[in-house]
Amino acid sequence: MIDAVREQPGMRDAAQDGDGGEALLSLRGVSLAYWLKKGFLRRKKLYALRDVSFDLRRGDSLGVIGRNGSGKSTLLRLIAGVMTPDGGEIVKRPGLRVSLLSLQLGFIDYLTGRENAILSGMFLGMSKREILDRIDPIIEFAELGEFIDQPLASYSSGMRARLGFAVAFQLDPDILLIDEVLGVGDAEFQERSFSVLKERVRSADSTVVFVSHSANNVRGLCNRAVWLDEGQVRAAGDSGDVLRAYEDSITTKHFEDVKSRVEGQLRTFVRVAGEQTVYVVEQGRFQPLKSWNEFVSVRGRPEDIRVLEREQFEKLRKAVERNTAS
Amino acid sequence: MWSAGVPRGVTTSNMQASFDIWPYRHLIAHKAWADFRADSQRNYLGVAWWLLDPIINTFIYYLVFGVFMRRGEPDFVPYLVTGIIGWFWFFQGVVGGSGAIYSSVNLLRQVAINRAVFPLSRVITATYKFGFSLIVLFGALLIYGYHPTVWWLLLPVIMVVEFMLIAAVSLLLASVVPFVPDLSSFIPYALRLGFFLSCVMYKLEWLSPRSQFYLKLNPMVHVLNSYRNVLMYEQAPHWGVLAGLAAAAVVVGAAGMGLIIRLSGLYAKRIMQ
Repeated sequence: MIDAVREQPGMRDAAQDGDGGEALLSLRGVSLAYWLKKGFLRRKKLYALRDVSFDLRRGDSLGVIGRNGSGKSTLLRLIAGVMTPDGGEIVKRPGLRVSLLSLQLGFIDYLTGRENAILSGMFLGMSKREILDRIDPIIEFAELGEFIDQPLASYSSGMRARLGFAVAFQLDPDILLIDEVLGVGDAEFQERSFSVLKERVRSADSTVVFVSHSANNVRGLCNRAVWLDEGQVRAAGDSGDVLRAYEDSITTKHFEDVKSRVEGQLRTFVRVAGEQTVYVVEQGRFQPLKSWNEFVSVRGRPEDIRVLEREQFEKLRKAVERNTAS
Repeated sequence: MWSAGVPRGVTTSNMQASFDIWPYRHLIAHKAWADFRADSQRNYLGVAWWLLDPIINTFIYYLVFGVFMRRGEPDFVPYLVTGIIGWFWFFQGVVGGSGAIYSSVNLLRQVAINRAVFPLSRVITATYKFGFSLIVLFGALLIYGYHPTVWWLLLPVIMVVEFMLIAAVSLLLASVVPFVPDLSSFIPYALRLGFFLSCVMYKLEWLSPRSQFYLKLNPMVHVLNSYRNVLMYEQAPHWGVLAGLAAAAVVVGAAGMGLIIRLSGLYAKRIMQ
């Protein structure tokens, strides 16, 4: 069930948690505003988060979803404690270690991989000894071999990314915060890093907050989810329900966008999800394009094609035909 | 409602903001060393630059003041070297330290460590470079016939006072530069003025009593002359003045730390804009 769905700002105040479990950290009415520069000495206040409340319990994997600019990263930074909220409070258990999974933190090009691993690890809160004890698994996981003692400047971007991940992953805080960092290295390493992360996120005794704009990345990974929209909690609770609501809203919004484009007499290309045929919608008519050449000849670009569900496609077609008839 | 019990008001942030930077000593030292190593890897001559720099500077000022302006007294070269090396420690420390919080955005946005780590590690990086340039200082002194005396044992005391001054000024400036970035453009001018007003390439007694009075308001005049007193003239430094400077450094440094602690939660936010 969805605990708190806020249709209008300020209607409900908190995400309410049903079943018990020990809360490690609570956000209570947290707000944060940035001051945007508007010319000389003029500033505009912009709320990145407004009145956000929820609990994080031990063993939770909490997915935070929302579109770009919805305040997800700001929320993560607040939980990490690198910023303090302008309103509300974040209450945590004393001595709780909360860390962002930060890749390549503090890396310096002129130093060797080993020296950077030590530096980065120390910034993440490990001692030099701890990092040196784990240097072999780090080298192995990052597939660096002899390169560990070469300067970072000589690394490929993939090697850099692998080392960054291998070091950051050694960290074992009480709450791990992950900000969709999964664009790590080449495809093969991406898969490997994602799978070890998944393992960590799923394990019962680790508490994780995972931020993503894609419901697919959160699904199956998180048991609970919070949906942020323009800095406010739209929904919070069981991840399946929240993700469904989020996806519904996205497809609805997408459909509305396509519809208003068509109504505005703009030439639009649409395709049914899972099918090949591209239709050009123009002057109130749906015209299937027979070949790729034809698509190119009407100056279509692949990124111009809007994908719709079958149901939405039919709805759009009906609306268009009705308009043409009248 | 709040289902599970987090005791109310335990802590509102996990920002490590306190005067206690002792837990960060290893990080500060390692970061300082890493920056020192990185700085020395940037060019072919590497650490040799920390030796060449004071030598070249000494040569330039000797040419201008010693030769062209005919102020070449017998002790002028060691006098100059002492001033240059003492001043450049201050210069490097304050330039690096004052911009350290502002330039560490990427780190600040990801870890909640004490923000004072950044200026302090930069000050220590400058201290490592200063340590290297001491080779030039002792070399010049020996070449010009100034042999070690018991007075040289007082050198560390003066160095501690100068270190405290550098750290204090750096902490104070570093705490506000992120909010007034224009300040970092202004600092080099202030330091250049400071360089000309610190008796690096001239002697206090060459000036009128009035000028001397004003110059003595500059702490670095006392620091540099104290170095020369113990290294060259077998004289005690002005203990009273040094003690006063150390006390002032504690006050200014505490103010800087206080500001950094107060503003800790705002840096990441401020710098993002």
